[in-house]
Amino acid sequence: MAQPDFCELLDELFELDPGTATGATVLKEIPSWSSLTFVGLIAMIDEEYGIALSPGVIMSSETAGDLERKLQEMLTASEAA
Amino acid sequence: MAIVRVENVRMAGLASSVPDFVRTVDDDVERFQSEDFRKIGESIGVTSRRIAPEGVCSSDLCVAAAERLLDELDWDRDSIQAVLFVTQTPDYPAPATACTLQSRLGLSTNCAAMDINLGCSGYVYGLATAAQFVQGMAGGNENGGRVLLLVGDTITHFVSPDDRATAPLFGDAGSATALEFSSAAEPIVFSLGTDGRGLNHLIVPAGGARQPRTDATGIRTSRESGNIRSDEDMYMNGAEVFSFALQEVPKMVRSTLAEADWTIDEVDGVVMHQSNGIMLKHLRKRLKVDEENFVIALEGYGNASCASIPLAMTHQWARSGPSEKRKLVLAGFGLGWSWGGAAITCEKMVMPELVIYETPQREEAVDQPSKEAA
Repeated sequence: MAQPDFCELLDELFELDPGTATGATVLKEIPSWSSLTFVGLIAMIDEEYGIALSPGVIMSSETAGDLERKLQEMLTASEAA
Repeated sequence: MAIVRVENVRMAGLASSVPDFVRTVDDDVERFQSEDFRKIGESIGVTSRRIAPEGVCSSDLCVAAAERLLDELDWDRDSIQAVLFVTQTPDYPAPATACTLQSRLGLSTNCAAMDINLGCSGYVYGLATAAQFVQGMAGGNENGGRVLLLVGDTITHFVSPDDRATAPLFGDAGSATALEFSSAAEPIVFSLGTDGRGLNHLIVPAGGARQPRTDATGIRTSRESGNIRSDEDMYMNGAEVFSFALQEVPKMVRSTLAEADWTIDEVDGVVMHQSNGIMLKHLRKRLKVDEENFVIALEGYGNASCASIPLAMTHQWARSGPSEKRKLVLAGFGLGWSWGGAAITCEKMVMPELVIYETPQREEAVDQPSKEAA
């Protein structure tokens, strides 16, 4: 699967101006963060990365960069398997 | 997954009913003092939903559907040998509501009756059980096994009106499905599974034996994200439900198709439990189902718990005269966690228009939903 740009995807999902989200963006401080966008984030990750993420993984990620690192680890692990 | 294959059973008919009271997104905006609910309603695909007033039971909705169905089927009531009732909102803690339905519907005393307690997966489990009853009873006799499957919930009676995770989403409905022996019927295949570790993500914690009702369990207090509910109300962690559905539903649908030896392209309709619009749209894309073959019936009803699949079928295909031949995949999934898929070929079914249950006239209680404008 081609590697999508995680921060661009976040901009789109949370309706931010392009280039707003960075690795240092604190997820829960994104203005449109809500239980619905939380679900949207799980859907987006499933669609773009093929990973059905447990909500705990997102809850334990402070920044966009933390979450992206975990996704990369999961992708590497699934490729190795 | 547990695979169940049933031969010589046809679905002869199906009817669904909803109560005559509605709540809308306008009510939510007022209740929560927040315009956000318009956007939420749009996202989840529910801007109005059907609500059973207090005192109206899921059995009442199911009886209304069953009466209409039996009239249109013109079945002799004595020919029905079992009535199964799937619900989480029975009339009494005991006895089983199915026993009361035997007499309310005027069925013979030579009739088996039992309740099945399941939620969002309940229709598929009920169908699997009812179909096996027919198969076991028929003995090769075309006038042999006839079974009535009633599936319904007044799930909003478990919903706190001040819990924003559940209040805008759920609605009430009942249904009746008629099954009978037919040597011409295509096999029905079921694929069923369970993961009880999901218990705490979608639950009504108090009111059973594990946590009996007390004065304290009935008190609504502020919980996570400011949602207000009691331990006798339903709690739902939407993100956990979504994550569970993503992990299990595509697998379940693929397993059902494989066991039936069908491809997704030859299926005429995929009818999932109507959980919410966001989830259904995502699952449709994920499974690569064409939009016209994927049934969405949330608007005007809400998430109707175990009755959502038959309600969606009525919404989509009800008409006068026998129905066309259709290969359907049904997919129930939710609290438990519990899930079940079915591959069923339906033909010449009796499918009456949606029945609107009329709430008997009585004094207006406080905080009742508004009666539908005629």
